[in-house]
Amino acid sequence: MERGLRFAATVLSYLVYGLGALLVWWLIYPATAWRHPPAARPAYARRLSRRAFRFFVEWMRRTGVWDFHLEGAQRLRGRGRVIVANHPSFLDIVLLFAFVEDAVCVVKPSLARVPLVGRPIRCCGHILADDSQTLLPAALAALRQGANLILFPQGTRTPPEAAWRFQRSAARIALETGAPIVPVYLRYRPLLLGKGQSWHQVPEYRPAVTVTVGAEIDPGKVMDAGLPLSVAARRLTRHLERLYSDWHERDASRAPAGRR
Amino acid sequence: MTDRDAVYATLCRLLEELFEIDPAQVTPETTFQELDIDSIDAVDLVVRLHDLIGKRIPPDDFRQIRTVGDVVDVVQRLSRP
Repeated sequence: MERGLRFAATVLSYLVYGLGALLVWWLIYPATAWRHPPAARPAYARRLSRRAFRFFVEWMRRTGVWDFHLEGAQRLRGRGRVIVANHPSFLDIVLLFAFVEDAVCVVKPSLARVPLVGRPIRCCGHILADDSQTLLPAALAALRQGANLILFPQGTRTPPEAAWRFQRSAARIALETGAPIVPVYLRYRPLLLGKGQSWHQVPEYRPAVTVTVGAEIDPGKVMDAGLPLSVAARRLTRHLERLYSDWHERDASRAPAGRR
Repeated sequence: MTDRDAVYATLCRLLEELFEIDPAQVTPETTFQELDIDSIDAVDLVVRLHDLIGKRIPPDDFRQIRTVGDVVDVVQRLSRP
């Protein structure tokens, strides 16, 4: 019974998401963006986007689709930082967009062609990760304007039990700008909309999501100044991989049997 | 820099300096994928090669590169008068 209701609430949430996206990006944004000078429009779009995602995550909580808990919320406050997160589910970005102020995300280029998604990506000035030669300058520019840059160093959705293998661009960007890294660890119990899971699979019991915000990492303090950037990026990436694998292990040992 | 062995040795030294790759791990057949060199790394490598040979590596040649030996070929070809 409970599961049936949750299925209905989940389907309703997809509808709310779709209608909400239409409302915000085809109605509210075009009707209001003109009041802002062109250069300020992406930041305005991001404020709008954050409000919409806050509503959406809260909607899913109230309707019983999931429950979420944010640990270390005060560490998310701030600007011009590189926020890295593991990527178990489609919903990671929904949570991060709801919690992170002025968030610019590095996204898979194919997403720009997805209906309902491409337009907000363009309006908000999210960065398409199609070419490392354009990625770096775009990321540096966003950070310099005070935006927070969200990156998923696993590159794509990755099952929680997979080995921790990170791409190096997050470390590289942080080292080149001196921007602090804020590591975020996402845990779903059970997993929802993970790799290989389909949209209509509703788990047996209500997923509880924990978003843990770790302590800020100052790249300059972790790395010797004399190292070539390429070496420093390798070491900083390994440092991050270790951090996440420790998180994961601690987490697994805390999990009650059968509820991993 | 036209001597094949010299180019190869220089390349190995660059790989060690830039990416902490042990030269003992490298053979001419080793691919960049095996060495875990990504596209941003490749840009660093190209910049250093450019400094060494004083010639730009054409993007088309660059895209063809898969192995360490491929780089040696390209550098040799560009170094020829």
